Amino acid sequence: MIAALTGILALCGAPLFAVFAAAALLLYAHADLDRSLIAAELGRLATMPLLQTLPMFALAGYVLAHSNASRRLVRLSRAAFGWLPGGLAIVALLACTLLTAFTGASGITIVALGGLLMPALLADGYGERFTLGLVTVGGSLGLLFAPSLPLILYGVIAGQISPEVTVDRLFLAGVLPGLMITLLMAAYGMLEGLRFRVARTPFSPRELGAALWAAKWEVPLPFVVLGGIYTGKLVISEAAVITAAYALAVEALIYREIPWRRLSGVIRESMVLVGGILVILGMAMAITNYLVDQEVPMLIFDAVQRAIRSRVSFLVALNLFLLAVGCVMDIFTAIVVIVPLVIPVALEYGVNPTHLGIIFLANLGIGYCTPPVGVNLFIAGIRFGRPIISIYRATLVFLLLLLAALAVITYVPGLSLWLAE
Amino acid sequence: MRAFRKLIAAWSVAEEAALAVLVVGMVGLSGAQIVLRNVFKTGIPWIEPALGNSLLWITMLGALAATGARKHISIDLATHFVPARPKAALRAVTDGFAAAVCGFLARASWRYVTFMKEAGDAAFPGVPAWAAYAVMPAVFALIAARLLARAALALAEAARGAGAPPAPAPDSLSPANGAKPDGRADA
Repeated sequence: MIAALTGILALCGAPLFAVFAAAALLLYAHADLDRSLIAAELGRLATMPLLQTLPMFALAGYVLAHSNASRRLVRLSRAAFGWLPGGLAIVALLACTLLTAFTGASGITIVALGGLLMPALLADGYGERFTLGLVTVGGSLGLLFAPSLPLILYGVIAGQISPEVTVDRLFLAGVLPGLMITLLMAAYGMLEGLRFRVARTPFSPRELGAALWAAKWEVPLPFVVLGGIYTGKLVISEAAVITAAYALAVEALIYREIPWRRLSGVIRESMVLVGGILVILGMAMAITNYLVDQEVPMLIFDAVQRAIRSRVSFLVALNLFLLAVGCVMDIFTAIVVIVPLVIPVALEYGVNPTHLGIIFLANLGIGYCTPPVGVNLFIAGIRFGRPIISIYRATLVFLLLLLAALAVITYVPGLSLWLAE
Repeated sequence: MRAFRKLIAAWSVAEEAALAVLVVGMVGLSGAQIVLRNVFKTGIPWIEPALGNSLLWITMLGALAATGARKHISIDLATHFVPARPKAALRAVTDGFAAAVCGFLARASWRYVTFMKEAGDAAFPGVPAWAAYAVMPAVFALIAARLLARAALALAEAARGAGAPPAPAPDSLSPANGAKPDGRADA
């Protein structure tokens, strides 16, 4: 009864951390456990060093999003790829992917880049529906590339259950699936470019040089960070600190696009995200603690096993479940709450937990743009002042493509595991 | 009333400053640790626990700021499909519920802090563990107060009816859609 009431409150917009806290308080009272143990679980955040990478990357992402880095990024990729058929569409994809990889939270990509890309794409002659779909879906591309926050969060949580999962391996596992999605989208953009007979900008080495020069302080950042992470030269915690310090130095000291006075506001905004995620994580850890104690994952497995025999049908069911979750819940909460329950079950079915991470993120990323309640749809509707129905229509083809990519990612584990192993 | 407004504005500045100091401090400390480790092959032992506790403080203060800016992560189907007046009533209910939960959390974490005080552990040299953890009950109590005040305001709005709804509906969707000057603490 109380549980049902709490669920309804959650759907009505009560903060999720309070909903999970209520659940934890009820469960602990039911099991005669001392309530102070819930606070102890929250306090455990202080003893998980990998989590310290979250505020660092979030800070870097928000600082970049608030400066003119996105402008320079678009100019640079336009100079480099604008001559291709569908050039500007590809530019938009790459810019969204890179910014989302660094900001992790996809809403901010739409806000920071959408206003820049939408008019440019329309002016170039791309159709309204395609353009709207592209900038909306663009907000959830790039989740599979380092240093995406959801990927780190999955690594932290999964690593506690199954030690073979590490953030470094997840970063490697995400590369090929991420590239596949990017290429698929780029191919669609090219087709549309040809269909709308968009004029191509001729390639100009001079403009490329000028664009490179304008972005000379930012261009090294992805190379240092991604290069460092992917080659193993930088430990992830070091990469996080270097990224934050570098982004701060470049945008606040060199370009001075974020004056010191505004900096504290940007810090606060990014920490609102981090605090919001981590306080939910703390409550979810308290619940998980109880559930594992009661062997609930095994009960779930027993129940699931009666209905589902093979690994393939388990994966199909998992995909459907995660897509549904993704359209009502944000990616961070979904990871924090569902990963601890699903991993033990998936392991019993012989699913590799690193591969599972990529499946999770691919699914939840799509859920962001799935009607009726995908978060990105609303953000785009508000950002571009369009009715939500037209956003549904605009994202339809993109969704179908993403679902096809998801099927490949799910049923070809090698795509994720080849680089990771 | 004016003095009250001033107090709230000053509080908001203090909150922002505390977060900025913590975050910049974390960047500085971990930067120093990296240089020490890689260049001088040494390290300062208290930096690790200091960073861990900074993260806990950032989590709590970030959550407090999220409450102020109405940017807690929530599911929030209702904001899109419910008209303004019932929406205010709904907000009064959800905020009231969250306030009650935070009250319980404040008590639970206060209990934890008193246990830690009896145990007498140190978080890092010079700082007892209970002091580092004291941020939990303090912030949960503040969040509860903030939510309670807001629930009262929402209730008044629902009763009054035709008031312009001040809630930035799109923002409460996700904490992640920043890039514009975010709302100040409104309670």
